Amino acid sequence: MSKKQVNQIHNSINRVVHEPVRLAILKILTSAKEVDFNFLLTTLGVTKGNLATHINKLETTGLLEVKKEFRGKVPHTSYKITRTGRRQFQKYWENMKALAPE
Amino acid sequence: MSGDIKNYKEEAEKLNRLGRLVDRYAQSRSLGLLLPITLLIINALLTIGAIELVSFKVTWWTCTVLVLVTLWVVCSSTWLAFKLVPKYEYSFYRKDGEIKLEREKVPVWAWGAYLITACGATLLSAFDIMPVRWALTLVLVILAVFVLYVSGKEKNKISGIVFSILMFVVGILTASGTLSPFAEKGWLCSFFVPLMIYIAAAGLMAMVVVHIYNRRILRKIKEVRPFGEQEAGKPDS
Repeated sequence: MSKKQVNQIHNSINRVVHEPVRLAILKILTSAKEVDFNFLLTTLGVTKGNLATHINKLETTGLLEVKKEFRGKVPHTSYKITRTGRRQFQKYWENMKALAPE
Repeated sequence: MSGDIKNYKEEAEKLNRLGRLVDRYAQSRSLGLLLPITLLIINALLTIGAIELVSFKVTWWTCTVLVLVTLWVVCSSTWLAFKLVPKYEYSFYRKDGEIKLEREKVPVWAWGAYLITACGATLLSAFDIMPVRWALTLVLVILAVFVLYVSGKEKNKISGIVFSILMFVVGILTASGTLSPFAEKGWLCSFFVPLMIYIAAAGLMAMVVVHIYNRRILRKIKEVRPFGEQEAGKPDS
């Protein structure tokens, strides 16, 4: 692969997806229908604040969808990957594979 | 650049492993089984009680009790089980959080095939065409195969595999004549009560085994997660 092609792929990498925590969130969301905040906390091991910031970033860029509801008096927040999110995640892996083939 | 690529590869590998573990963890959440199992144990006890009551003395009120028990057993194991389980299966994992997987619908033909074969074996045994032992074996094996199929569709493979293995074992033991509780107590007691007891026992064992496996996977996830430690787990606010 020429240096120009490598640079082209580098430039097309989505920086929002590229961040490790956000990438892990998207990876979990791609294999599930819906995941709640506590599940992401348990599986990712980040702090609540950190997780909330990353989720906010993914939400504002339209990569995930937030669903807020009340279960009795307790608020419950769950997340779902959007179609754009799924596409971006797939594209990211394709770029990575092109950069670092097996 | 080559250092960057090596890092990407390592990170991708770690992420893939995390993804696989999360998938296994999500598919091995078995505590929700506690609801149908409890219901099944209550039903087995009620059935034994009602049969004993009727065999002791047949009056209008013992018949009423028998009818009520039959109605309860039929309703609870169909409508209530379908309503209760989906509603409360995650409440046991409130602290660990909730994950809903993309489940596939079990096709009608599968339900039909299961009901026809299971009811067929039961009826053949009820009319003394087939010995209770073979009918029970057949019903257990059919249930094992059906549960294995449904667990794949319902994304609860691990519980399904353990439960089916146990059902197969019980089926083989029944066929060989090793297991025959209540054999001399009439068709209802020698067929339905052992069936309920076997299902409840296998379900309970599967639930415990899969829950232990689930905790093991959670420990592995905690080892593999690359982003440090979380703060003390508190409910979502």
